[in-house]
Amino acid sequence: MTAPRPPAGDPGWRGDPGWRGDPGWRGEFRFVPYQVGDPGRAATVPAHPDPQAWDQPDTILDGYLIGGPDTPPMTLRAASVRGRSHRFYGRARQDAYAVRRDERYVVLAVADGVSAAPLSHYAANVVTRHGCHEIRAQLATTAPEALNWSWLLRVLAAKVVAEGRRQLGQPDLPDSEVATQLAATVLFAIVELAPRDGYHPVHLLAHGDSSAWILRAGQHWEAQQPIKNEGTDLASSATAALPYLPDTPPVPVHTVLAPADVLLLVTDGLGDPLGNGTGTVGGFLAEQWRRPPEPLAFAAHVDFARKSHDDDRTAIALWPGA
Amino acid sequence: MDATGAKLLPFYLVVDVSYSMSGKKIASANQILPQVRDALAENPILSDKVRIGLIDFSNDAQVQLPLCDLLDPSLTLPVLSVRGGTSYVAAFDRLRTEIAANIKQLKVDGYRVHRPAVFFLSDGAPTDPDADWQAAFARLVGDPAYPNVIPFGVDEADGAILARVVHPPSGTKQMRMYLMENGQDPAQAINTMAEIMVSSVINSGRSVSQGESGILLPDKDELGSGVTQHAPSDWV
Repeated sequence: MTAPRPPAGDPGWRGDPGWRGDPGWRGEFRFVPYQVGDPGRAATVPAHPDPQAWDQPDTILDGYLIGGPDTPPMTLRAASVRGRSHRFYGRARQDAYAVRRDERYVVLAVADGVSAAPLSHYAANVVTRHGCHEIRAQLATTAPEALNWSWLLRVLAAKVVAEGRRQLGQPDLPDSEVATQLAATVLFAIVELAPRDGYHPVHLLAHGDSSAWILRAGQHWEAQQPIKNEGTDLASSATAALPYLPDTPPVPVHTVLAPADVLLLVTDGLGDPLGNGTGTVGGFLAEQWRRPPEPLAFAAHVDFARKSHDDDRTAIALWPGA
Repeated sequence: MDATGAKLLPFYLVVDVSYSMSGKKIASANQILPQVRDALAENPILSDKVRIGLIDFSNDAQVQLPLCDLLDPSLTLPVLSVRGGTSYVAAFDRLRTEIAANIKQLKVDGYRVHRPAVFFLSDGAPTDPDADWQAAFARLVGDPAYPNVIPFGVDEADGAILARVVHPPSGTKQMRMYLMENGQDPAQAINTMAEIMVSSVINSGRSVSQGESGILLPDKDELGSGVTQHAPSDWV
């Protein structure tokens, strides 16, 4: 008995293995995981869920055009990806990012929850989301150069402590004890949507070891802060993190983004392998991100395997133009 | 292959191979690295970062295993045998030059090296004059890249002496020492100490994975029987 033929006009019937008609769909997802240098043994470890944090996704990502009603569009990609260590040990991703925009500015934030504190993913979410929200509100009446960053960090520190008390269900817990349960670095960028003389002014503020970079003309990575651990004999993972406040007033960095540049904000999971930007990782990311990749591809780039680099990673990249 | 930025956590096992270590004690000491290797094999995340070296000492000190990845398939683990004497001076000086040379080379190769840790296993008192081994130890821990030092004493080891080679001896990153309880079998005690070392390698490596830098030691109540943990101040 022969297999039944598809009824005329049904392009999707594929029950007959010998049938070679039009299946009615198009597209392909062919994925070879990225490795930069030696991927390490951690590249192949299985991933496990965090039974304490079912609603914290392994990976989040975004890709869109962003611009004001009267300004040219910019292109954004963002991804936050759980590190292989957290995957292997069944711990939640503790990084976060957030984006806000008004008519004149786009406000970006990345944050890295401190691993030693178990509720740090809440801290990372609070400082990015509330921080972007608060900055955008301030920008309605204040120029970016005049923002009071000390005040902002104090507000965010208080928000982190309040969130910690809420999560712990202990409204009277002292600040110092709450801080042992959740803390996060944070890095903000304010990008002016309207170019001035062809360049987008950029204002950056970091608390802790998340780092901002500009890929100049698609060629080389320019660090917007001192390179972590450069010049020291031994590496240290110690970093500043909210709700702990800096001892000295935070110092913002002001720069500009040219039409062929890319602004990149990263947590140390990506900043550490990037190093000073001149190595293999810098070459890989420059090659992949000279032009905006597909959003899913962007997340796959962020998730590259490299020996000993198994931390959570977060990146926001912003390109002038569409 | 370009290793720029790769993180490493170095451990040095320093073993007394004076004649008094012969027999079951040296046999137990020879089982330490295989146990560390087996533990690392079950922890691929850590094995990417942990490096181990082995130095033995008697009248002189020798690097028996240069700092390496214990899971390297081409590796053959050395077997220690006993020689004469117990020179802490030789041990500390050799350790100091080895650490300095390793860190220098690893930095040239682009690695980011965390502060090393030393497990120092001895079954007796030093044969050097007190002032000499104390000066050698001061040189070792006076370097900017000084190691954390965790002494392990069995048999005739002197707690009062080993208490002086715990480093840092105080503060938030204070280390501890481990001593065999009186009347225990020293070979058994070394086996228990091997478990402490494995636990420290795994937990410290995991701590580096979590963005911390500290060397972690097991709590007192996690120790196997026959071995006790002490802060240096216990001896003051």
